[in-house]
Amino acid sequence: MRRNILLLILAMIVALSIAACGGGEEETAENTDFSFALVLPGALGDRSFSDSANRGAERAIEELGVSGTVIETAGITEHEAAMRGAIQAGNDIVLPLALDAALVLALAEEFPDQKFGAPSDVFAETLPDNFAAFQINVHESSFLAGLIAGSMTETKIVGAVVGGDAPALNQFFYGYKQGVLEVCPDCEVLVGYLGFDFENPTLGLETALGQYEQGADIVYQVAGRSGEGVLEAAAQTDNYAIGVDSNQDWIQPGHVIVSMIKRVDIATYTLIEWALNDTFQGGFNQLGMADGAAGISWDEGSTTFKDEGPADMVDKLPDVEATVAEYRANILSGDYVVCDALVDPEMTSEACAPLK
Amino acid sequence: MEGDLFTVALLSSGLRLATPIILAALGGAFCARAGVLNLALEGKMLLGAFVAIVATFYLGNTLAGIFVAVLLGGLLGYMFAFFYLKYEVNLIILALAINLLIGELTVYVMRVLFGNVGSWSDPSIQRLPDFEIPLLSSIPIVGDILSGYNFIVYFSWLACIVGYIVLFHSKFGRHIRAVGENKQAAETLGINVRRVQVSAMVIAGMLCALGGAFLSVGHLSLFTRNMSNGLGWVAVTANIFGFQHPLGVLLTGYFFGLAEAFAVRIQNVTDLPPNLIQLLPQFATLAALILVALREKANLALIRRRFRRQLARGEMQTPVAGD
Repeated sequence: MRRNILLLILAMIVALSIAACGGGEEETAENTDFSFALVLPGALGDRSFSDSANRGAERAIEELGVSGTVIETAGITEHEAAMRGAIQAGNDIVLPLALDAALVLALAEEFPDQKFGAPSDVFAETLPDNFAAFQINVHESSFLAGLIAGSMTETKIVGAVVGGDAPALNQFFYGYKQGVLEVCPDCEVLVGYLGFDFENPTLGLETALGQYEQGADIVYQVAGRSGEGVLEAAAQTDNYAIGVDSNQDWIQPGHVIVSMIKRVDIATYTLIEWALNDTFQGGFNQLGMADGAAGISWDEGSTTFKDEGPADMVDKLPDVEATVAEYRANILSGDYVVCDALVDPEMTSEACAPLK
Repeated sequence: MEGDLFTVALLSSGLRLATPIILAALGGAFCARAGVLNLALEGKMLLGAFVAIVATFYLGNTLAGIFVAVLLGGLLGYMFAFFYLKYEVNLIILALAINLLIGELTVYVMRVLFGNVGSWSDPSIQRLPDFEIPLLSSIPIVGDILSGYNFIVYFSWLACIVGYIVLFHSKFGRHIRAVGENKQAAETLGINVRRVQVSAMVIAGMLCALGGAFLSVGHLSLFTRNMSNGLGWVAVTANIFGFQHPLGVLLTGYFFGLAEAFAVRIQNVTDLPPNLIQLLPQFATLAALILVALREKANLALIRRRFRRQLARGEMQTPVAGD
């Protein structure tokens, strides 16, 4: 028993000294009294969604001089504990990334003086005053990805591998489908849903292989880590894929034509900035292509495909880029409307109805 | 489109998806026949997947990477046997401990080595090459279904056939089954029970690791956290459904692989909700287990009936072992 207590004390000393070291690194910054915690739905290293939010957090630490922690979790069972830990640590703002809405809203009610900010994907009717949420709308940028697929396909069949059949994920898919059909009305668009299995690249691989066998030559992946199997399938069958969330062009160079970018980092950074500058306000905020929060990897200057793709595909790029620029301008000016399956899950609006 | 569903591609997709299940379930069958409940298939598979890709990366050779993975899988199997035989740790607890440990350990080592914990791949890693079997591949349709995979797929079939011969037509196999049927009786007959059980567990560890290696460098060329993703548990089921028989396991493993491939492909040819279709493999598993339970119940009823009949006729004899 005594030995256990000694061990416990020792462990506490170690933990404290580690914490002290962590604090020490921030001393050079200017706003060290401000701190935030970003709670991730899983672990870092997804090369997509969570990594993007982490980039936003790192930029805030660097540019705003605040201190912050990024808390990784091992799945849904740890979310509540991680959130409570972050609240009790006295952070000025806690940022739950795509955690269960019921959980984070209950916590917001329980701790009315704590500021909360969700960088992406909180699906609720209303939000309390201490909760700000961003929704990054990707239908328009997925539409651009669809334009690219529709313009470049040789087989007139393209595919999409989607994590699950839900409005938030269909926002990607139907925007993409509309883009494909806009430039290639007689194209066929295949879709494979993965039953919300975002961590199974084998499943993504076999689903994509199935679509390539059916004649698709370009497949859009909207499936987190399962989607890495899609990129691999493109390389194995010498076809093409479109990446998602972060720039994934480099993962299978020459086989990933473009990536649809969802700038979760911008939302993360903005929330921290608001809390720091006292401009924080509860409620929903929409971000999209017009705000630069959604786009395609070519906007960021990714030339991986241009450099490594086969010549006959690369030759098409100038025309495709012109088409993308034209539609982008029309969308931003409001002349062209892209179906938003998140707002219209029943697909009844004028833009959505033909896609059903 | 309807006709496209049952294509050669579907069957070969099923064979690819079945390979890790078949290998792990065969390992499970060896253990079960030796009287050891092996629920650590999942952890051993995950270890194999991770070691194979890391070793491939450092050695620059996929075959060498797989070899290292199989060796370490055997070592883990030996550890499993060691804790079970030497310290008599409860098999279920031991298996759960191994599954949890490997799950976290792979993430930890991945972070230490490569600085991330989600997925990891490297352009230098070459996927195990597919090859055609010379004569077989020239047969139409059959050749397309049975040829054009990498060696692990072929090995999984061969291993089941060899496993069958070893288990049922060799001295070593007779010893394994004797130990499984009745440990004390086997011991009295002079069989080295410990050695038999250790061998079975080492074989299982190696087979599981090979199944895992198939995931990371045979099927894909990347590793993700918890890559085995429940396949080890599917293998446990496939083993039960296959009556712990190497050839049974080959069939049930293929059944589960095919169910998965079917669920993946059926979406484009039907209007059924995709969420329902995704449940197909799980439904198949449940149906399989119910069938096994019913068969065992029927068997018991049969034995009981036979016993009563014999009793009524007054021909009661001492039951023969293995009946």
